[in-house]
Amino acid sequence: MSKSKRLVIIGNSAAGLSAVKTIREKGCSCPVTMVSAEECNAYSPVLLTYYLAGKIQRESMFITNEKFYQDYGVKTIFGKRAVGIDVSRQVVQLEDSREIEYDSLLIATGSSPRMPGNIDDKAGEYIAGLRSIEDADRIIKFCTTGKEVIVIGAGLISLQIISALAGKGAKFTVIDILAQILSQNMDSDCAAIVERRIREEKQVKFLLGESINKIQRKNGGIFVALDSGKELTAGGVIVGIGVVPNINWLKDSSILLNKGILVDDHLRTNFEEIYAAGDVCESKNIITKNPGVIPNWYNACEQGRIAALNMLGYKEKYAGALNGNITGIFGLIIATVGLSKLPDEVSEELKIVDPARGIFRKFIIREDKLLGATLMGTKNDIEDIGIIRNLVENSRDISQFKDYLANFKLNTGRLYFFN
Amino acid sequence: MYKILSADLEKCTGCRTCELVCSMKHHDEYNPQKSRIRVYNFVEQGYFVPVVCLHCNEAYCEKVCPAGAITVNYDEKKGVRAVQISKEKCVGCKMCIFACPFGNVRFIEDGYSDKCDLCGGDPECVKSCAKEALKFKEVSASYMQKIKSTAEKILAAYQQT
Ligand SMILES: Cc1cc2nc3c(=O)[nH]c(=O)nc-3n(C[C@H](O)[C@H](O)[C@H](O)COP(=O)(O)OP(=O)(O)OC[C@H]3O[C@@H](n4cnc5c(N)ncnc54)[C@H](O)[C@@H]3O)c2cc1C
Repeated sequence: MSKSKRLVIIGNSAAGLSAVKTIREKGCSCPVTMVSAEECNAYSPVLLTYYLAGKIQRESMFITNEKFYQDYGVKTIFGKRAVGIDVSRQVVQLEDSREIEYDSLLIATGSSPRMPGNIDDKAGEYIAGLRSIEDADRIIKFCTTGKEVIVIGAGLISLQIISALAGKGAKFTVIDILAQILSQNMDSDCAAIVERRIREEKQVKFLLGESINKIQRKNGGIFVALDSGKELTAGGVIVGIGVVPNINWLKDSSILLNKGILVDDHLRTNFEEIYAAGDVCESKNIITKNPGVIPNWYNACEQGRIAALNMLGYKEKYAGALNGNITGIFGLIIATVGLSKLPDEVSEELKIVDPARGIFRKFIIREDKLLGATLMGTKNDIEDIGIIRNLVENSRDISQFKDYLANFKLNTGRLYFFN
Repeated sequence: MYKILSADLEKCTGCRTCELVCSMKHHDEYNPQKSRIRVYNFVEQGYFVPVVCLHCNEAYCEKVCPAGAITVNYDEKKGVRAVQISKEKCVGCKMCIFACPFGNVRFIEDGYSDKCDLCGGDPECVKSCAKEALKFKEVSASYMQKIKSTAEKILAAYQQT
């Protein structure tokens, strides 16, 4: 590879930074330019709920400083949005009409919160998804007015936000179209335990199986009408109904897009010299083998690394994205990996439930392979999630210790190493 | 060449003194539940296996930490290379626990992740090991590889304590 190859990375977060580190760790001295729509240094969205909770200061969310970009020899163009790519001329176009030439390009523009369609334009300042520090500040503002707050979507991020802010004065009403909370993450038995736990908090109400008809601004607040005819007023609305990859700016680029950017096993787009990584891309699901957007920090880091290796000419294959998460809400730690529900008749499930102690362990197994697990409990009840993730991710044969998984007794189970 | 914590399974008698001194050193109480090193008992095979952070060359936990709280620190003089968690920077998101394929990062106290930091190059567990089953020493690259592949091949099993 020629020394002078110009590497350009768009996006200054998990995927982009992981790529930068990989490029330099491999000893490559090519010029690297990083473009980011946000003016500031990189911060981690994962930390936003800890900021909401007041556990960390604003400054603690930043994971890079100027020195980082200097040390890694990265030319930064921050506070400028990329608005297009001219693939024939190999240039990225920025909002200020500047053009950045590349020999190899990584698109790592992440995703944004999905918003409901039926919002009246003027309601904007009272509605927030959570992705940026500004979003967090907006949420803090309307959660401290003492008024009711409506939360649309009973997913992990919504519940993390409520968990962070509960007890700070706001009262929350959570609306979800499905009857089950956390439907993307777990089965209904586990969700029922979490729901019961949250209902113990007097300031959280659920309206499940309800859909939004319209959201309007009203008297310094918000009016929400549900399809069932119910009407609510609130000081603000928090939206947590998933994310959409930031691909709008690529519509005219002839890069193949579906929900996210389509990539091959080397995270390459339909253009030889253009790669994509992180929440913005649709990569192969390691378990189902189907392409999809699996937005999490872990995948974004790994994809950034693999994409960078391929940009440098190493023919590194990406094994696939794994859905999974670990989080603490309302005193429960929830760790999930892979599938949470049986995919077919040949699969079997092992399940251990102790609702009183908030303990839940479930394993989905097919032909001696672990396809997924849901672990819930406190402190050390979930400590083995990393080992379990490894078994799922690498599709290890678990026949030798399947019985141990099954017979695992609450609170005493641990993984043992032996050769 | 850096030193690593190695365990001689032939010598370990399962006395668990290492767990006690570790918890005392880092959590101010004699409580094996709070130890960073854990001794597992393989009743059927007749072995005790001390398990502790391997301070991986490519540390999964360090790569994934969204708070930049995990760093690889070198002390050339002492020959120590330690993957460490900063308690101050850690927000307790547990991503490292999700990432560690060996289950060696723990959530002991609320609020932050916890794991072996090699006690600044003078591990308490090694000093307390009467049978000298635990050693802190330089090892060859091939030995390191052996440990790694052992850990990877490991026959993982759940068992009651
Ligand atoms: C509140 C919250 C909690 C979360 N918790 C967890 C968790 O516990 N565990 C977990 O694994 N994941 C979690 N996630 C998800 C995780 O944060 C994302 O998966 C991860 O940040 C994706 O990284 P990324 O690099 O792909 O993109 P992003 O982090 O989305 O970053 C995108 C980057 O691209 C830039 N950008 C976007 N568009 C443009 C453009 N047109 N031009 C130039 N630059 C642009 C942005 O400024 C930003 O720098 C959470 C997310 C949120 C919001």
